[in-house]
Amino acid sequence: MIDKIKKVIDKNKNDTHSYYEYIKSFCESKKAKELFEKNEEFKKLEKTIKENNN
Amino acid sequence: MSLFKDIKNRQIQKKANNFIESLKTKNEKEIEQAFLDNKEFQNNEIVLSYLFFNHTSLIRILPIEFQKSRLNSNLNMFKYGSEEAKKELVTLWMKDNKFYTNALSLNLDEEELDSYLKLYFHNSEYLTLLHMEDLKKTISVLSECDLKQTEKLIDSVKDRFNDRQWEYIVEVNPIFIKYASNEIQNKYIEDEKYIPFLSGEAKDKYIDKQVDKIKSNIELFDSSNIEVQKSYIEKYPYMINYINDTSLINLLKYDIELVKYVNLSLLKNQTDKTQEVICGILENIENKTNKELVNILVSKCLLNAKGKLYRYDNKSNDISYQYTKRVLKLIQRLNLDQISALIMVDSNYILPYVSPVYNDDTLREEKEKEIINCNYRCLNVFKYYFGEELYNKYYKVINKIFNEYLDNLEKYDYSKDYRCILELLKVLFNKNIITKNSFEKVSLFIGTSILHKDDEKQESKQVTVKLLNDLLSNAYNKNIINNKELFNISSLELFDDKLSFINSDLLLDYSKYNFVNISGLLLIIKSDKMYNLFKNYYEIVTYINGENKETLYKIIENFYYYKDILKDIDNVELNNDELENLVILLSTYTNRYNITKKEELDNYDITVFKKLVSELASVSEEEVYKNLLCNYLFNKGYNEKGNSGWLEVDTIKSICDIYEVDSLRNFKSNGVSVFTKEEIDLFSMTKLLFSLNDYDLLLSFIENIISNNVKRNIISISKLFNKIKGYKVDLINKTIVSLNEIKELYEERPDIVMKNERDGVLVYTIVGQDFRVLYSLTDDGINFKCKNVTEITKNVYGYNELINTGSVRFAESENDTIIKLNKDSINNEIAPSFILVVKDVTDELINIAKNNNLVIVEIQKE
Repeated sequence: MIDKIKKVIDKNKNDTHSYYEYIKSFCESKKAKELFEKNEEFKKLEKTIKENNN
Repeated sequence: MSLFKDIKNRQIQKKANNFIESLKTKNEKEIEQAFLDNKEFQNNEIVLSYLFFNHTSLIRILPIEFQKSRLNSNLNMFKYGSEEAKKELVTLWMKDNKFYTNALSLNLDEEELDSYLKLYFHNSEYLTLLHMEDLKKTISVLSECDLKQTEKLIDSVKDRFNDRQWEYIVEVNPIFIKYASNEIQNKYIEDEKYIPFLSGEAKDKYIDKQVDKIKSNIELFDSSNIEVQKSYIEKYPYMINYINDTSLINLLKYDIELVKYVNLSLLKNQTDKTQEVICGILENIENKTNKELVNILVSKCLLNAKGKLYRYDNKSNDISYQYTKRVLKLIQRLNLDQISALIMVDSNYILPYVSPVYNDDTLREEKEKEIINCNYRCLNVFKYYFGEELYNKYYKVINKIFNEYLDNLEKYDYSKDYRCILELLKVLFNKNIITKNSFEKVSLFIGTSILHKDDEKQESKQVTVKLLNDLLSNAYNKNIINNKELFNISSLELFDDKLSFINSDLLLDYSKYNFVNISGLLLIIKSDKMYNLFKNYYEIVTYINGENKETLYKIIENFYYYKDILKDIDNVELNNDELENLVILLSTYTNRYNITKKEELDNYDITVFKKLVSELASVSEEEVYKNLLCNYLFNKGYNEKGNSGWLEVDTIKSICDIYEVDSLRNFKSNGVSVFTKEEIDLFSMTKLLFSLNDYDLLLSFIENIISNNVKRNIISISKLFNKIKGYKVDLINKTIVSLNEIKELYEERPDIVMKNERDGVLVYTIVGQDFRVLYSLTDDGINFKCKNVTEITKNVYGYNELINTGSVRFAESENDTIIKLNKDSINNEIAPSFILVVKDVTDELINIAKNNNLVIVEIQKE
C-alpha cells in the first residue's frame, strides 16, 4: 500500500501540468488582461501559455 | 501491651523527644530540611503534634491525613495547611454539605471561596446536595470558569436535581435547560431565551438563523450564545482567526477541537498574546480528567513539556519555547494523579511541576520556603508515581538535589543557569532508568553530576557522560554511545528504540529546540494502537515533504486529525481515484473537512472544490477570499489569518513581499539555476494575482479555474514553496547589497558612490541608485526587513547578511513583512554593519556610528 502511495506521490511531484493550468486560467481571464496588458512579467506568462498550447 | 512493645514505644518516644530537642536550636528552614530528611518521624504523632502547634508555617509539609484531621478540629489553623490537605478537607465538608457553613466560619474571601467551589468539578454528586442560593452561586462560579465542564458536570447528575433546583440552575445560564427532563423543559417552552437550548426543530432553526445573521455581520459574534458561535465556526472555520481573544478563549474552552483552525503562530507575533490566549484556555486545567488534560496539553500541542527550564529570552513571554512563571503556576495547580499522567507521557513534565516560582526581589526567606515547597511536592509526586518502595530508596537523593539548589540559590537559579541542577530530575522520573538500573548506579550519577556541575574540565564531563550512557544503555536495552551531557539532551526518552524509524541525527537536532512537540511524539509512540499508523503517516508525509525538522513537527501536530482515515484504510486495497485523493488529503494539513472513511476518498477532490465554491460565495471580504483561494491553490494562507497550526508561518503575502521574480530567476547554486522555468512562471503569476486588491481579478481567475475544470496538484505546487523555504536565507542574502559590495562599487564607480570621513566615521554616499538591503529599526537582533532603499523612509541599521539560525521566519506587521529570529542559546547574534541614512547625516548619527564602530551609508536621490 505504501509503495502504491509513493508511486502516486512521485507522479504528482513530477507533474507540472497544474502550474500551466493555473497560469492559463489567470492569463486568459479578462480582468487580468485588462490590468496587466503592459506588464513585462505578464507578457512572459502569456508567451509561455501560447508555447505550451502549441 | 507486651513488655517488648512497651520498651519499643518508649524508645521511639525517646528518639522523638531527642529529635524535637535537636530542632529547638534550628531555624525554620533547617527544621524543614531535618524533618524531610528523617523519614522515621514523618508519621510520629509526637513530632507531628510538636510541629503543628509550635511551627505553624511547617504544617503544610506534614502528612496530608494528619493535616486534615488536625485542621478539621482546629479551623483557625486552616490557613496554614498545604493546598492539597485543604482541598481534601473541603471535599469532605462538601460531602456532608457543610462547606458553605464552614466557609463562613473561616471567613474566606471571594477568591478563596471561588477556588474551593471549583472542587465541585470533581465531585458532581455533592453538587446535588446544594439548594437555592448556594446552588446558584456554585453553578455561577463553575460556569464562569469553564462552561463546557459545568455542562458535563450537570449532565452527569441531571436526574438527581428536583424542579426547584433546576429553577436555580437555569437562572445562571439558560444553556443548562438542555440537560433537564422533557417535563421540566416543557415548563420553559414559551420563554424565548430558552428556545436555543431546548431540543428539537425550533432550536435548529434558531441556530441557523443566528449563524446567518453573523455571516452578514461578524460583529454579532461576540454577543451570540456559545452554541451559535460554535455552529458558526463549524460552518465557516476560516473565520476563527477573525474573532476577538476573549471569544476565542471561551470558544476553545468550550470545544478544544476547534483549535485546529486557529493560527497559533499568529499569536506568537504579538507580545504576551500567546500567554493570554493559552493561559485563558488552560484556566480550569486542574479540573479536567487526565484524558482531557493530555488531549489539550499534548495532542493539541497547547503545552508540550520542554527539556529545559532555562529562559532563552527573559523579556519574552513566548510560552511556545519557554516556561513563564504564569505557566509554571498553572501546571503546579495539578494534582498528583494529573501530573503523574503527564509524566507518564513525557517525564520532562516533572520540571515545571517542581520549579520554584518567585521574583528577583522576593525576600530570601520566602524564596527558601518556596524551594522547600517544591522539594516537598517533588517527594510526593515521586512517591505517587513510583510507589513506597522506590520512594524509600530515593527520597534522600531528591532532598540532596533541592538542598544543593537551596544552598546555591542565586547561582543555580533555573531561569539563568543553563546547567540547571533540577534537570537531574529528568533521570529520576524516567521510568526506564529507575526500574532497570540499581539505586547505586543512579545515585552515583546524581552525586557525580552534582559534584562536577560547574566543573569545566573535559575529564569530569567524560565521567558524567559515561555514567549517563551506562544508565541509558540499561534503560533502553541497547549500547548507547552518546557524547552529550544531560544538560545538552532535551529528552532522555528519545533513546527509546521505538523511535528508531526516525533518522537519529534529525531527532537529536530536532529535540535541541525548546519549542518542539516532543511530548506529542512520545504520546504517540507509547500507544500500541497509534504507533504503526503513525509510522505509515510519517513515511508518506516525509516522502512528500522530505525528512526534516519542519515536516516532523507538522507530522506530530497533524497526526491526530488523520488517524481515523489512516486506520480505516489500514491494510485495505484502494482504487486509483482513492489513492490519488488520499495523497492530496495527506499532503494538506488539519484534515479540514474531517475525512475519516475510505468511502469519502472517492469524491474527495470534488467535495473540496464544491466546498471552496460555496465558501467563496459566502465571503464578502477580499482578504478572506484571498485566504480561501490560497489555501485551496497552495495549501497556505494568503496572510497570517489564513494559516493554521503552530508552525505554518510563511504566507503567500510574505513570500511575495520578500522575494522578487528576478531573485528566483537569477538564483543559482553551484552555477546551476535552482528554480525551473515553470516554477518561476507560477511565482510570477502568484505575485501578479495577489499584488492588487482587486476582487474582480480573483473572481475572473476562479471562474476560469471552474470552466477549465482544473485539477489541483498540491504536491507539485508545494514543491515550489518548499524550495523557496529551503533557500529562504540564501535567496535573501543573494538579493541584498552588503557593505563590501558598496565598497567595491566605490572603487569601480566613484561617480556613483562617494566616500568621506566625518569626525572619524566613514560615510559612503550613494546617489540615484536603488537596491535591496537587509535592515532593522533597532539592533535587537530579532526583527529585520528586506526592502529596496527607495522604499525605506527612516534611518535604519543595515546588515551584511542574514545568518541561518534555523529560526528565521516571516511575520506580518502593519501590512509589512518582518523577518524574525529567535534569541536562544544556539543563535549567533547578528550585528549591524552600517547605518543606512535616508535623511540627513546628523551629528547624533555620527555619534551612534562612532560609538558602535559602524560606517554610514547615505542614500541620496538624484
